Amino acid sequence: MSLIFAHLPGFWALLGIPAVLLIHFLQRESRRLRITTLFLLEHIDRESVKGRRFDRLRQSIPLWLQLLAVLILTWILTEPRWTSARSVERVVLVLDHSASMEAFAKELATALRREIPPLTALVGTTEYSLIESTLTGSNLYRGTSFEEMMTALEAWSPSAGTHSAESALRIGRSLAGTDGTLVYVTDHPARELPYGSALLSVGEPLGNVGFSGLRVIGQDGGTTWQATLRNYAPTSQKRSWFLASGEERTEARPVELKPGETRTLQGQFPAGGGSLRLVLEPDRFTRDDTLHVVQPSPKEISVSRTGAATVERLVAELIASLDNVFPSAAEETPDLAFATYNPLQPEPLPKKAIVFLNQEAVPRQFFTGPVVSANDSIIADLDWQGLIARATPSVPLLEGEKVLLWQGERALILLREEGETRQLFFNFDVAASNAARLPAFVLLVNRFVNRIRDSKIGYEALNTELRQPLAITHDPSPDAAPLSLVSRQGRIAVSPHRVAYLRAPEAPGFFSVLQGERTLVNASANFADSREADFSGAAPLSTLGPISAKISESRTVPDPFRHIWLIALSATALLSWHYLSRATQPARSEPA
Amino acid sequence: MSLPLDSADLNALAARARAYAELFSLPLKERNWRGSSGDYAGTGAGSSLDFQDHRSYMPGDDPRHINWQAFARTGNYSLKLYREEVRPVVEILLDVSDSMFAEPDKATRVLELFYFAWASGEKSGASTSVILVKGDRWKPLEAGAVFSHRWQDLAAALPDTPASAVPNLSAVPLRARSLRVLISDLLYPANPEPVIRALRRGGGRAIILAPFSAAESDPDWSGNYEFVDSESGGRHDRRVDPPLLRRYTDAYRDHFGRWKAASVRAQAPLARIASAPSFEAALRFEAIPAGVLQLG
Repeated sequence: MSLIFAHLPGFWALLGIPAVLLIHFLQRESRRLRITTLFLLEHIDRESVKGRRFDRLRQSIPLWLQLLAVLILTWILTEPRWTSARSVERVVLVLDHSASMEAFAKELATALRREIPPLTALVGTTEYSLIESTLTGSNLYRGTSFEEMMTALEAWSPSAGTHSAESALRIGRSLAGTDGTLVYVTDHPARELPYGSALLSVGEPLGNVGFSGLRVIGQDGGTTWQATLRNYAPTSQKRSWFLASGEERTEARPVELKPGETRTLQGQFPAGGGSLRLVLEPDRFTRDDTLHVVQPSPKEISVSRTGAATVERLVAELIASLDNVFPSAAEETPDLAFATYNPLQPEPLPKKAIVFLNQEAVPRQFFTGPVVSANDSIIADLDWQGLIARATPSVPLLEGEKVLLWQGERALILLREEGETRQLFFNFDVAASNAARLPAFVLLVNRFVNRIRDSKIGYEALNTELRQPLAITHDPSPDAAPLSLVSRQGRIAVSPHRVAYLRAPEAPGFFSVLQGERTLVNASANFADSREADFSGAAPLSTLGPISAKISESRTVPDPFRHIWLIALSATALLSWHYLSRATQPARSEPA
Repeated sequence: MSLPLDSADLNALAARARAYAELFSLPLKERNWRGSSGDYAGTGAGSSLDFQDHRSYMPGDDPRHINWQAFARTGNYSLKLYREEVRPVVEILLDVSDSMFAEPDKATRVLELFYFAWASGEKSGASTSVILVKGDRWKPLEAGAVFSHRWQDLAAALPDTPASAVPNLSAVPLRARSLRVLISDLLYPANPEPVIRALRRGGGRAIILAPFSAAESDPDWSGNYEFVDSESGGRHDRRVDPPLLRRYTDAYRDHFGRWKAASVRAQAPLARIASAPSFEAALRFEAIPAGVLQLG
């Protein structure tokens, strides 16, 4: 059992000791007395005047009683408690991993140093756990040293978007146990927290201005970027911004945004520049102060046209509507073929093709019956109700084919995906129908082309958000070179079986994905969670106040003799008063 | 309390002193005195009824004192001598230093002793006179100055003295073979023997009445004090704790122990008269047993 003091300010009562001594001597100094026997006093040696103070103090009973009373009072006020060195308190801190916490790194450290150690000041051992609030968050620290925990905190960089901390709090409660202390550390105070969590909010309203959106569009042979700048503050904000590309940059331009205003900045991509940066004058939340932009470029798709002349015009229009598509060279296997199929003269079809039914004789009859689409993402949300197609002969349906669209008993659109075969088959006379005027038709073709594009191993450039999942098509063969993600933070090797979980970096910037020396992706990652950039709801708040007392009560034992000390204090006070009153009775000598 | 005092109060004191003079008296009966004829036995032969001695007749002697029976038996003229009856001389020496009147009780006791000594002297028919003494200064009082209370004006007119100044009794003119009554608190740092010797010079007899207060003999000091001397006004800072208080009471007791011893050696009885009890009780406590005063 070791002794601890629950109320350290109680030691201020010790100031009563010099006060008592001062009062004691001041009382004695102020008495003047007229006497007739001064010659006797003068002949007595003066040792008692300059003698040892201790001897003189020892003789004053009221003085010693008052000093004893001060000591007892100090003992009572400091609230002594006994604790066992084996008593352990578990404190689990769940850190809000949302990006907005980045703006309050100093406030976080200060608040933790101010609030956390006093919680367990009366406990022998404290086990700290520091975890992130995201479900996939890491365990930052677990141990018994507060300073080591703070050291681990220095390397922490919050980057997640707005999310619920409930799962992390549940984990935190299981770590803390039913008697442990669970604290959710955030910058936006929540009204209610589950699992008996206490709240420590370290935020405060900030006047943040940042980029909230990006759009790159091709216009008139050039490429235009459009960046959205937003003022989240309730007051007008002035900033300056500039554009940087490579080693060059523009002059800083001022911009003033009214409260809550959103303004779009727009410009042309510089000639030959595949990327640029829009840099805003930094504020406390820097994550949205720089916008990294690359000129988007989807994977190239080579196409060939092997079909009949009846659909040539339609195919030309479709190819013109596709991005980054070009005719395949001779003797080159195209990525995609536009082909036709005559059921009366069947021929082999390319493995990756969009196939139209070639019906030279136009039938008079139309398909009847309701139009029903299959449950497949490639045709989801497309409206085919306006389709009018003539009743042509059908291709024989093969096993493994998926019918995307029915009209009555007739399969109108088929999807063949087996092995390397990727065929979209229009089982009706497209040229003789109104399909070309239906948006669903064009969209379906685009979706299929994008599937082909996604499955191709090739180079692409794109702009992403932070931690955005990346779909990288790569060479999966065992002999293929490994993948790596290269960003400003370094190069990260990606094992082939984890490519599906690859995400854009957590920090804004440019990055590339390579397989061996082959670049697959050049991209940018930008902060895009406008909810995290809005600090109007941030505020400081702490509900830890009562917890310290609860821990003290549960982990320590109060002084069992405190009532006796109170009685002793009263007794010493009464005795002192008794001696003082006796000493201050009127003297027989008349004072001068 | 300081001089002069209210006349009404002094009259009351004097009246009480005359009453006390019926109970107590100065020790005039214990020895023979010299002086003019009176009621007390003198040192020489006189005309009283007390037989003293025989001696041969000398020319010039009063023939009425010839012892004719002895002449018939022996044929020689002889005379019967009788004790002379004289009126003794009482000289009251009143110490009027400020310490005598520093406290009301003590001052009252001083005045009671003074008026009592005067009344007792007057009652016994002695030739009583008063000399005021203050340090090395002294002032004899003319007759009538006592009960008219003018004495206190004369006392107040005496110049201030240094602290605890020793009275210079050797300079005070005293009549031979008189009874000297010294009323003083004896609070001065002096060897008592020269003082008593000066008091008894010229064949006189001396008694000493020393009034005192409990504040002097048994003070209750505790803590820090600024002591102020009652005579000189001098200041003295001192912290009084029980050991110091003990040493003070020891010094006080030793001081009067020396006076007592000196008074015994010089046959000048000394009585300390406390100021707290009644005057009668105070005299009965020490003055009567010590022979300083007599009953009746």
